Amino acid sequence: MKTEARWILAAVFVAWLALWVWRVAVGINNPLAPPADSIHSAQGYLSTVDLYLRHDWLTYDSAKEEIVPGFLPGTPMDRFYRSSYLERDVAAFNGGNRSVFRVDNGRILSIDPNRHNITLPFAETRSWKGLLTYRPESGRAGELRGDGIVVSLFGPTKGIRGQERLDEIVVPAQGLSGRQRKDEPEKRVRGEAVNLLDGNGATLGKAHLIGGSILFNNRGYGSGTSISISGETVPSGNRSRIDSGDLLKLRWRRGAQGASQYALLWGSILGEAPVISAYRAVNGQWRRTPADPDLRLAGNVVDALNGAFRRHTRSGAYVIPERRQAEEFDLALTLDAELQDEVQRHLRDYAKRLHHRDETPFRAAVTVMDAKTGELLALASFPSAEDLGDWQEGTAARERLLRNHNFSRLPIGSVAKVILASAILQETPSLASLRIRAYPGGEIDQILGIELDPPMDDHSIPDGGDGWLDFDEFIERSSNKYAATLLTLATAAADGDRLRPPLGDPDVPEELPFQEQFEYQGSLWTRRPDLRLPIARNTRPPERGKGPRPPDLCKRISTLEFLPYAERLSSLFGLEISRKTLKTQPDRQPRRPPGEGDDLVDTSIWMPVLEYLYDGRESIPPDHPFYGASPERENLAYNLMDSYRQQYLSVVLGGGSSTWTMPRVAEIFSRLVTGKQVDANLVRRIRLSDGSVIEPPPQRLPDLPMNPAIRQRIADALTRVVNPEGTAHDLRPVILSLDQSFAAKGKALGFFSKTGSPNNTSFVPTRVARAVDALIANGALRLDDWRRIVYRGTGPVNADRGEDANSSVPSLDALQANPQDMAILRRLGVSPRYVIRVCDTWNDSRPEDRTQFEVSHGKLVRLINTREVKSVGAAYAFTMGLYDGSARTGGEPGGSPPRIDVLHHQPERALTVAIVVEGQGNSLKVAVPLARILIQEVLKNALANGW
Amino acid sequence: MPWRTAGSGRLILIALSVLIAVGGAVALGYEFYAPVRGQVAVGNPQEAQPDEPRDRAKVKVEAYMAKEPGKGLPTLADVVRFYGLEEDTVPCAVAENHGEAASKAAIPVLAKRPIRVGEEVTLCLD
Repeated sequence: MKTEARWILAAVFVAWLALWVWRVAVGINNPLAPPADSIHSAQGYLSTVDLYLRHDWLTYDSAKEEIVPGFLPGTPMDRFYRSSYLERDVAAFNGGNRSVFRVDNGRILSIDPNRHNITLPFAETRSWKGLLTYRPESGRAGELRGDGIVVSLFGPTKGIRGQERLDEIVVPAQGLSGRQRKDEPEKRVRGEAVNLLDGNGATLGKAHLIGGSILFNNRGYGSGTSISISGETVPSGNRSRIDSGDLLKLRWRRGAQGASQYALLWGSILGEAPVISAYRAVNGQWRRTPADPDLRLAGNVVDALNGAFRRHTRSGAYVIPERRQAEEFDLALTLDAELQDEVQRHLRDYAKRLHHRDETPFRAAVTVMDAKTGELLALASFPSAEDLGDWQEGTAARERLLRNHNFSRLPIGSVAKVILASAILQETPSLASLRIRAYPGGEIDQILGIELDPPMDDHSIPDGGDGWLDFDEFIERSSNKYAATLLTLATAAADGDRLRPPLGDPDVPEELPFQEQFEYQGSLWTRRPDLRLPIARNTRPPERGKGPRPPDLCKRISTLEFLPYAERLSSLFGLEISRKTLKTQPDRQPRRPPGEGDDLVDTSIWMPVLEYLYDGRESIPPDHPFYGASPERENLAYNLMDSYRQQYLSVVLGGGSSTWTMPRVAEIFSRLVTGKQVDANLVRRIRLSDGSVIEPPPQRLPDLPMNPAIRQRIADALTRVVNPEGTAHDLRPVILSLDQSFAAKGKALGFFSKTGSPNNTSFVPTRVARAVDALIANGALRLDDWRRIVYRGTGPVNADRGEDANSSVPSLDALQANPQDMAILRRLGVSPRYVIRVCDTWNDSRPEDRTQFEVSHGKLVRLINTREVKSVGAAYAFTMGLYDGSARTGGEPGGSPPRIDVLHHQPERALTVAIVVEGQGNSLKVAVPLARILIQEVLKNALANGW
Repeated sequence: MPWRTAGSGRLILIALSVLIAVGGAVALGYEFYAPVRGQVAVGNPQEAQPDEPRDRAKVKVEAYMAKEPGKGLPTLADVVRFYGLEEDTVPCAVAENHGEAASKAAIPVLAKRPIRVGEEVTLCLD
């Protein structure tokens, strides 16, 4: 090759190299360059899931609140379901992670499009890098923590020398000679100054805070005692400083000549907001520590925030505005580190004592709320992963148990009576004068002359000596019959605070039985007022010549959605009584309304974070990822009720659709006691990287639009629950002694509570009923002129074969030949032969015996076939407030619980606590004893000293 | 021979530069870390000491530390008493806060001089 050619070749090569280097260099730094794909979205999977939803191969079962597959085993749908992410996604949703699918009005809308995003190599994974902390505290606290011991110290407020009696703790020995403490509970002490004792009871030293450190005063004078701090010996009688990270080593001799024992305690000075989760560099990699925080809910919060940062729209843009992406922020929750820790520990210890070996684990939850602000101070939940061990690892049942059950709706039994009674009396105050006759316990088979099928259980309610049971006694003793009567009469309320007069009604006897007569506004009612109820379908035989059904029944079957008191539930407590009925007061920011796809979960508690992330209330997208860290939404579903006994009465007895989350119960009790529109909230502070702080607006809560006299009446009734006749009488000594100690300081204890023992049966349609109802809705089953059931024009359904054993059954053949109808049956796992037999039974019955189906205006409505779902458990909700002594209007300190004037006095401090324990016994046996432990060990101090 | 024509003076220059660079680095003490198997590497022993001696503590003065809260500002002697420290640590605390130069006669005066709330003072623990 000639030299010139060589030079040309070299020049071309160098030019290409320079160009390549330039392109790479510019490409990296060019802000205008289109972003390279950093995330692979599982588009194929998403489209296939869409197909499943459109064809109803996956449906939402409202009764079980689960997603159920509706295809046959072995089909291609089944194969894809099992071999893709889909089976696990459905299991995760059914296990309680409601953010996986968006469900609205009982239909699945879509799957979370970002759930299976894959971050490509060399791409940056966007994530939230801030600190997640507990509630900021006013001062810094210190801690000495060792194996089986925690000494918490807070800044002295009075001279150390003036503190005569110090808290003490025996330091457990470590090492081989120490006791085996595997199952021993951790020893804890908290105080301004604490004496540390050795195993012989002799003082080793005294610890207290001094500035930003701990001061340790060596008082161990015994032989064989030696004390050092991070290797430096502290001579007897000397003081020394312990900084964060220092190690205090205490060594002493067991007995005079015994073996040497030692303990190690790590000193730490906690920041003003104790950290739950931090983003730190660990071994060269950035990650969140601790990987598995004690507060399991923290994992959900971090996932939600990470999800928010990573979320894409379909066009590939991030959902969070770019400038928010660049800003880092720390998030402080309202949860109080100490209260959360203590309540969780007591709940766990208590629940573990209840739990029998080999028994299926149960759920329990305790919410503690600041009743004046709605701030959630503790959300304790049982069981934890540690409690479950290896029980059903990897299953949806396990995941469901591991959720924070404060966010799950659970039956609360009679606690619901307070909520419903408040709304009813607000609408019709005169109903507070209702009195019913006292009755023995057992089965109640009628209310106001309406027969109950099945009967309602009730415990024996002693009367006040006059043979009658009034409103206060109803709350105090938790009468089911009174509650059912009140709820029933509420439908007879007319304008002008009165009951509609009795109406000539063929269903009602002229005079109510003696036991069903009631007293209202001082006069005895022997007839039932005009009720507006979905009275259970009429099963009386039709009267010949007047048609098969009495026509006047039709006009009374109405929805309960528009009952005046039901709207009060919404305006007083922000409760939903049907789909999309949420109303808010005009003078305040609305609770986050149910948006598209979020009717299962209420994310209002995250409002300040959501508003910050998405630049204001209007721009919050409906599919933001905070669903996994939010409580489920209550819905009494009044619009769906059509059975008096099985649905309507279940609401007041705390069953059926009356399931509640504990934060909501706490919120309602707080509202009733303080008379303010308290909203549960979980965000205390957002602190940006430049030090500026976003805090929820100052708490000037608007008044609760409630009749003052009614509020006072309810508060007084709630005070009586700890009376000797009350359902929480076991708490009486604790409450009296606490009140006495407050009274000595010129204060009074307000204690308002209600027990609940959900032992209720709710009724949900069976699979057969759902299948037949779907066929009726499709027009496949209808009545002919002779009121016989016909299947798609094949004549009256008849399951019998003819004389010839080989002859066919036309209806069955036609049903089996119809792919659309068969798909419905397959989805629900119902045999076509069974459907035909059900219809045949109706056709073969005499007209007066035809009770299997509901018929209206000559048309089939539905198959009446329900199964029982038992809900058993214990619940207890209470608000305890520290009031000025002048708020006391009744009750003697130490003699009887004080009555508090809640109208003219606000508590100085108040805590609302909602407890629920599933399936372990009634409230008196299970929930009230737990409340007693919490009051004595935790809440008493919190109320006296603040949090 | 083809390789004879490929070489030039420049190549020798590059080779020499690499040699000088490596030689210089070795001369300056840069070396490869080659731990010997089975032998514990010896680090530089250091005594861990806190920045402040363990028998000193810095505290922020608060109004409630005064001998009679509400009546006047707290003094250094009040702060010492508040934290339960011995009376005889007061001269040391005065010396810490006002310098060693404080004369013996000035110590009682300085110990009873009011201190502004929020100010930081150093206390002697022993």
